[in-house]
Amino acid sequence: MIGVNTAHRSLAARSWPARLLLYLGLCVFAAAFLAPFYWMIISALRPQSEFYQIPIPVIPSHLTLQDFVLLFQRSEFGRGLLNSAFLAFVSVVLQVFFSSLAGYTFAKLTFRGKDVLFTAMLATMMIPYMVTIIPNYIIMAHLGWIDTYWPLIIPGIANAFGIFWMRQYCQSIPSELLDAARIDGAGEFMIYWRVVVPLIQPALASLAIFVFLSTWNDFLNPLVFLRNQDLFTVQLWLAVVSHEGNVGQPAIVMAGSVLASIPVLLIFIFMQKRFVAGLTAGSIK
Amino acid sequence: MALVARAGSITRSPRGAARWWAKVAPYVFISPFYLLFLAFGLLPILFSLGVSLFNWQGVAQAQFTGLSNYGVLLTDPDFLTALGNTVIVWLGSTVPMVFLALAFAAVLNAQRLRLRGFFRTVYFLPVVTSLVVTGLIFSVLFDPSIGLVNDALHAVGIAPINFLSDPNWMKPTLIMALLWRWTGNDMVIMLAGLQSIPGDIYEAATVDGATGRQAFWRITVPLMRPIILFDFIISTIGAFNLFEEPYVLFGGSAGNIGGTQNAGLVTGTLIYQNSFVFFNFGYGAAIAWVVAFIIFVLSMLQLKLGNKPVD
Amino acid sequence: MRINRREFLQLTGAAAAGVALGPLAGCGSSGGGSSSASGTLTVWGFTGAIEGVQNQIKAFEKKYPKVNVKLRLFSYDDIHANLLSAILSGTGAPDLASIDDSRLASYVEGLAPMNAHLSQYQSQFVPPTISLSSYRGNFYGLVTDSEPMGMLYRKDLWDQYGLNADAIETWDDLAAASAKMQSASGGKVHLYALNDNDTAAYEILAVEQGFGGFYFDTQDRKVIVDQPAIIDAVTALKRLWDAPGVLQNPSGGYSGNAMTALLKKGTIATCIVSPGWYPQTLVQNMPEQAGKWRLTRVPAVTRGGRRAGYQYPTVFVVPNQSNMKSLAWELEVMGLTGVGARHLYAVDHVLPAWAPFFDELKAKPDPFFGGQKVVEVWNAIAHDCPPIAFGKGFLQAQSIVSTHLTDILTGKVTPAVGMKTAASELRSKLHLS
Repeated sequence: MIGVNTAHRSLAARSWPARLLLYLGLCVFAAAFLAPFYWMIISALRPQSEFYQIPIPVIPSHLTLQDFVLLFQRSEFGRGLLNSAFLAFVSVVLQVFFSSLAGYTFAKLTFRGKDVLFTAMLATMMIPYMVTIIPNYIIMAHLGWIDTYWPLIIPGIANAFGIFWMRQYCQSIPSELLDAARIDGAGEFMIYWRVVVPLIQPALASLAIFVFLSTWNDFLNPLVFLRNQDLFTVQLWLAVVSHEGNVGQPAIVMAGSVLASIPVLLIFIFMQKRFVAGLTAGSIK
Repeated sequence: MALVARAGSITRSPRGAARWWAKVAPYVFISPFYLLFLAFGLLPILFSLGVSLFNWQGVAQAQFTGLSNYGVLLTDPDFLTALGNTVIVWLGSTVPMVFLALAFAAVLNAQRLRLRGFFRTVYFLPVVTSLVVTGLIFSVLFDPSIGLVNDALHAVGIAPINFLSDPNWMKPTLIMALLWRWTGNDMVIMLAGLQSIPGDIYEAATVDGATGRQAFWRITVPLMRPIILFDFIISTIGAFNLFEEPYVLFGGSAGNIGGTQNAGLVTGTLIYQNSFVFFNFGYGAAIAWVVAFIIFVLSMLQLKLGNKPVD
Repeated sequence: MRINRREFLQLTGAAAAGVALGPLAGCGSSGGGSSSASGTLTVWGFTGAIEGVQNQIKAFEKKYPKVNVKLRLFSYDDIHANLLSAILSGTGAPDLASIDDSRLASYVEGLAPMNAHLSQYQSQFVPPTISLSSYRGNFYGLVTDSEPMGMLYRKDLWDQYGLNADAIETWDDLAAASAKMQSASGGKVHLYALNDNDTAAYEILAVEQGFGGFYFDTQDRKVIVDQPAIIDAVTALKRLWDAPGVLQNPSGGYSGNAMTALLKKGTIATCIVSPGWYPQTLVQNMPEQAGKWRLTRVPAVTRGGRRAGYQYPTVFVVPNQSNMKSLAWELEVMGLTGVGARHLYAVDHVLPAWAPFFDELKAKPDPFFGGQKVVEVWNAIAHDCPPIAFGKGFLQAQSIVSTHLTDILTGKVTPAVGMKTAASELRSKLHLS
């Protein structure tokens, strides 16, 4: 069976002490990565008054759903989840498509000015976003796009990060495949759609994860552009419930964070299955 | 074959039309980015460049000051501190993270590894864990009086360390937080990248008698170069824009975002502080542009170094 | 209160100085017509401050049936950037917004002064709340709560280790008590905690020395951090820091996570920085300690000196862009006095700023504080404060002083040198004298 996996056949051939050590190492890291998330879940199921209790119990004494109840009382969190999901889904579809098309173009097609255009695109990533927020707002106000989802979707389609990523990945596409397709008479877009896209599944899947994650976690843009609570995203609601005036409400934030993390995890689990060797799938015989 | 037939029926001179399209297609494919950028990205960038030439504080009137903001900047101890801190955090987090991510990805790519999907998901969890949790964990875990880390140190006879307030320890703690939080993300990049290496190469190598380690360093790493380069550049941009983690870890009050002696002040939080806390927009914009220039130079350097042809 | 069109254009035009952007849209009429009773009234606020206004929206809409009130919730930190964007771009500002009082001065050119209403409400609000919602003689709005600074302590721990709160008069007395606690408890319990960059502690002492502007004079024209009285205060702070047994630098400061955990555990016996809203943090996170806490005055810098400090509440303001200013003001009054105020205090457990309710509470014993009539103590502290004011560079001053405070407390420089350096840095960055 062809796959990168065979490179590490040596893994299987290792003696069992070495394998045990490897699994042990993996578990140590896993514990470090997992523990805070576990604490997040535990805290969400305990009352606020126990939040700061030291030492932190591994198995909590009494569980309660009151943090979740308060969360839904003080916000429209369910609505927020749906809104965030909608925004994330639309962004993923649009950004993955346009970025992969452009990235492939920069990687494998030749045209005049390619290097300059690519460098210019990279340069746009280098301005710290924060200083463009206010002028951005003014533009959107002029367009009448305040309090809509347009500012959160349209400008994001120009995703330099995504194009850069796709370009790097597409560099490893064998040019022979593309030439063969051209000789067969395929048009440029068809080559992309029928030949390239199946080959770059891992890159598409990972970009989908990144775009979903960044849209889902985006706080600044919804904050600045949205007014109507019906449009609020999950992150905005989390910020709203995080304080009652000056007094922090961490347990409620934990409850919200737990709920908010579920869709992202599901997307990750679903997408990471596609991390199988794709560029060999269409090997020329 | 059907493609040719369709193309032929559309135009009178299929070869000519196809050749024209082959020339124009690349520009069409990349145009969405540039069109959108011209519409939405360019003006704000030019605006911020303009603003940096003014003394503009909050809602009050702005006065043209030319390049004086930049002049003040270059001798401002806060800016120089932030810059130094950022470089340290950049190097200290990027280099280990890329290698750790690649190592994790290589191990978690092996087909015969049990619970592969489980480990991948768990390693990705910190990316999904809320930032509030991350801040809480680190402040409680590393506290000098009640933190577990200091309890462990105490057991070995080391005096308590104030990880989040001792200027000597703040940056290492931040680096640790970044490594914990983002390695899983980098791991995804590396995992995807590993799939682009055809298995035949490894087969050939094993036939030639190469060990796993040799295969890794002689085959995997060189072929992963475009991906590794991507990771370094993205991490560079990220480091100089870094805002959330330092803010959550050190920003006790709005007036003191950098922590003790500004040891935790980085360019990202400095820009935020000047723009959205002090409302000193002209100065904040000037800082942003200097930082943008630095990022650009560093990225171009990395591209030049990393873009040698892959054999 | 009307401003003429020229002033108005100056304000909004200034925001776009030198750049092609910056519309003057949406600014036709100046001043809201109190007779026109139709349209949409937009309100921005955050939880912990908005509940009074929120509670009165129905009653308000009943009074003005053709007016629709739209409320938008923000988090405490985020409302400021949004309000700023809206004011700068000339469009999208609400009719009524709650902001942190310490930032008021940054917005004043975009806010409508409410001087006409000042005399009517001056007596209805606890001092010094009216002064701190004014800037250079203009009054901008009412505040949600009062935030005098007190000292909270665990009476049971103080008793256990032989300390008497009534004997503490100055900060030096407290420092001496810390040494006593250290030896009596064998280091197990700390009398108090302090951060070396804690500007909140500095701000208490500055007010005690008579400087209601904390870092500036109350007219926001001069920097005062190098005044002799301030240097004395900072020297006292240094002695407080050097006392044996002080728990130094809990991460997150006096209201941070570490501090809360340590208080809950009983490792710290006193909160020396405690604004009027802080007790709610204790009630929420360590209810099992009810009855053990007491409130007293902060110690003075010199024996017989002032024993009071103040922080910064939330203030409601009306942006200039609004063309429903009078209606916005009316909603503000409804939300921060009378029924609205009662609701706000019931929900948020903050210290009232509305005097009638404040007076009612004075006789109420507080169970968390062992039956002590805490509101009486808060009231006395508030009345002892000089007029409080916040300058435009308040936050920047906090940042600069914070850095130098660390150098002073850790012994790198003397208080005199540290504060003088801070003063000159402040003067150059803010173009003040």
